Amino acid sequence: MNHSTTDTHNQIELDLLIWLLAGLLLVVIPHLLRMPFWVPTILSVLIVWRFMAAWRGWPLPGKGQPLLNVLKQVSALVIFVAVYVSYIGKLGRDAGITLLVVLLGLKLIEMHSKRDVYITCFLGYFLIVTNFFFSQTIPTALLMMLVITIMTATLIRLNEGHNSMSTLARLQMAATMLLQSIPVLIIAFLLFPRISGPLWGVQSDAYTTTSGLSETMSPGNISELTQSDAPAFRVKFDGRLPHPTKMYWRGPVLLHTDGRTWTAADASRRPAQPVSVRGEAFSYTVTVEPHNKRWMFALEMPTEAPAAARLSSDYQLLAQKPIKRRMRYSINSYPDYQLLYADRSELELALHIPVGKHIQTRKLADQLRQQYSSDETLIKESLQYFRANGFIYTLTPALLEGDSVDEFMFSTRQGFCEHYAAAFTVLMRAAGIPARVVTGYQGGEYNPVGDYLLVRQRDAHAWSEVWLDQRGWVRVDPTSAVSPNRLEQGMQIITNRALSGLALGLNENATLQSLWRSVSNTLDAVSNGWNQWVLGYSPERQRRLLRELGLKNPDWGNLMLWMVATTVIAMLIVAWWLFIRRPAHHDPLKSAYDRFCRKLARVGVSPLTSEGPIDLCRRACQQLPQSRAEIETITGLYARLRYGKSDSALKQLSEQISQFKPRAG
Amino acid sequence: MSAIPADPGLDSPAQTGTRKIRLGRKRIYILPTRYGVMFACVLLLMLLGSINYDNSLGYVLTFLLGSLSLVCLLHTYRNLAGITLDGGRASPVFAGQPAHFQLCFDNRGSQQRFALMLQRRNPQSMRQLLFPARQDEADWQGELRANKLDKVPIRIEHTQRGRLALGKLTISSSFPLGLFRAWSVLTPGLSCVVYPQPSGSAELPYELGAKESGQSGLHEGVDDFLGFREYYPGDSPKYIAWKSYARNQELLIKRFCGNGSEQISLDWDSLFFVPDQEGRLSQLCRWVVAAESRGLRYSLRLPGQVIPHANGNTHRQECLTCLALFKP
Repeated sequence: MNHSTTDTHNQIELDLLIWLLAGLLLVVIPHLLRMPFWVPTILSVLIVWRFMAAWRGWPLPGKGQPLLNVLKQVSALVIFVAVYVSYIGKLGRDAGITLLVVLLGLKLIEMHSKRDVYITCFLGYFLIVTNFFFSQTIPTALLMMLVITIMTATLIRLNEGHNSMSTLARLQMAATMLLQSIPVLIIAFLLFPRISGPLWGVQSDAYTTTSGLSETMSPGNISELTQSDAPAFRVKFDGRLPHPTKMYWRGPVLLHTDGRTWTAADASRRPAQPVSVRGEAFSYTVTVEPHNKRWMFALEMPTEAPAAARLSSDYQLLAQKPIKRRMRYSINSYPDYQLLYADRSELELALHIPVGKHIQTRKLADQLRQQYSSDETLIKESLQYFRANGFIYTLTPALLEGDSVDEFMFSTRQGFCEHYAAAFTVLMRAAGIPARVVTGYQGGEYNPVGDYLLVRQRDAHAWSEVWLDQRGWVRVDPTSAVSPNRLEQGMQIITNRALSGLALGLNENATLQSLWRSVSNTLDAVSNGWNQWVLGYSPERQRRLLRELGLKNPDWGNLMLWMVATTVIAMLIVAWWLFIRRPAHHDPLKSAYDRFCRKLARVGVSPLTSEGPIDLCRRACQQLPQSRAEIETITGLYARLRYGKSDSALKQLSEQISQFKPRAG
Repeated sequence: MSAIPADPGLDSPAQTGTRKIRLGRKRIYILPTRYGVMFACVLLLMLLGSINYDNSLGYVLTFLLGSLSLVCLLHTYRNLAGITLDGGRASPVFAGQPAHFQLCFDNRGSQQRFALMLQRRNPQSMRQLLFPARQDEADWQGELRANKLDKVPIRIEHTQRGRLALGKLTISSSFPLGLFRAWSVLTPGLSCVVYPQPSGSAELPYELGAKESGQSGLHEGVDDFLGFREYYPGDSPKYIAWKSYARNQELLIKRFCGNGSEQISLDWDSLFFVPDQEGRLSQLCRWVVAAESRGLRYSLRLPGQVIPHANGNTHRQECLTCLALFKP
């Protein structure tokens, strides 16, 4: 229990090392998956070496180890050169992180004193932070909490003295301290003045891209996306939601075709002509996942672009820079709109069909043109053509070998939205109606838990837009002719039907299905909340929160003051918790006897620390003969309780002491 | 003759009960350690990085660690706050032997306290004032168990004759995370009496009267066996009861008693042949020890002090203390 003076502490004990390694491994593993293969190898060698040094006494570089010292210098040099070579041409953040990992390994070998352990811990903290460049999901955050708990426990072990706490006690203490740190964490997170970076350098592209819509469309492109459940964007509506069949989220507009693949036109670069609208707008905020393109999805049709964005001449909403991080923007869209302007050259391009392609479709168009002179009737009858001729809407259509449109229209007659959109557009062009393909997303799934609409990659869609002289550009969705369900109820219907072949059993059991739905809704809502409030806590959001709290446009000084004040209050509460709350080592017998002693002290009989209860009793009886009987009873009871086994007399003793009134003799 | 001054440092069974020192707000100081400063720098870097890359979880980690350091401050403070020093004792020793002080800490009603360090304050040392003691410099390090009374030993080497005051102690701790160091200064007011080192080769000065009364003056075999008493450091190993030691590991001294009338006078002036004072005191010390172990009645005569004939433990202590505290 008590220890004498000298303790060199120049050696890191094995169990401290184990704690440290446990924390560091958890930190480093997510990084290792992204590094050249030799880094994990070298790191494992260094870790094993250090572990064996502590466990079996293998020698380490240091005093009196000239050979190992030289080896260490040489290998450090070799490793730095290797890092440089691996990252030639892209020296930047990733190279820096690799260097950090390698430095950590080398530091482990050189770790002898308390200071070295701290430095290793700090390197570990930096590695945790750098992991956040790659992932900021909730599991990452939970892993971080675990690592911090282990590293805190390691520091406790380092400062504990002579291994006095059990592993569990140490972890408990670390966890308690972290829990006590959470209030100030929340205060600082909310109130610390946020400024838009960067302070130096360029905004880094922190996120990897997910697959989504592309700038071109060929048969099979969009049906591939039905495999992906990944979220494309989430929408929070202020007020009512549009009807599902009206939810078209406009993406790239494709004008050119080479017979198979559709591509966008240069028109995207020119600004938009004004949109005429009627009626009320839907007001909403979109949070779009990063996809490394400039597309900002919006309901058809917005009249104004939000800040840092513009509306192109074909009414796409485009950001100034490719979207590499999750982005949030608010828009108003009018469902009742008319796009009345069109460039002559644009319309010409919208009539173009490549030479020698789609012969049969052209013939069909001529037929229809002869029958119906009115554009609108022609469109209606074209849709009827799809309805009446056994066309199938399927996720897995047959491959198209020859002319993609002709084969689709006349032989296979099965396809997904891109087939229908492409075919319909070609048909319109052949009939002399300017038309273009619009891709984007349709519909979305409403999440009642978070009250937002989730649009996934599998909701990707393609439709057509035709030019009518009186009405301007009008949307026509051929899918509505073939699979109106898809528009009404979204892709779940289609995919579920496809999945039912897998006999998951999920489809048959309705309660299981709804349970699954509510679980996944809740998970996504939690994820969304995390995205909005933790990851998306931007300066604007902070300003909004502060306004709600009553602080209008605070400057930095004010804000810091508030932060410090609330921090002090939170710390006082923690201090109360630690100090004033009586610890668990409450000894009721002792406190009862203490009360007795205090009563005696008041009349002049101060208990000496050297006195046992019997001696005290004797002395007190001498000095206070009138209270002799009471003193003796109390002492007798106390002695029985203290030295004997019965606990039941405690209450009695307590009462006796309460009633005790010593009279000065 | 003057009485021995009353001295709370004497080897009495316990200190007076009033000498309780409790560490509270006014007495505890707290400052960051160098690791705390390093930690702050790391946090600053992380904060700058989070601002620059607009990384939310980076902010979270930075604020969490910052908050943790504040919580650590409270925990470190709590590790010291409420420690009660409840007196102590120090048994007298002979010069040259290490002095052992025992401090009583009363930790009843409190939680376990870890990684405490006690160090004697050197008032001349500025360094000690400013920087925390390294672990190998501490006079004691350890912990106090929850809800118990613990005794802490402090050892001082190379003692010299006289009253050795323990002086002030600094108690400090940087538990749990080593980011802050809390310390406080204790003044237990303990001192240890250091007797002179027994030395000198002069024989015990038997009184002429005793010699004449038929005692041959030889010590061995003549005296009556009186019994055993506890071994005191300085006793001659000639009188150790080895059989008893072999049996139950207790060092006992055989006591012999003269016929009660044998008494000697230990006189300062009789040591005129010893030139220096310390030498005289050492010789007197050896005489006292020898006289006691042979069961003689002895008196001590020093310039300015006389202790009349007696024998027994208390008398021995009185004489030795007188020798220890003698100021010419």
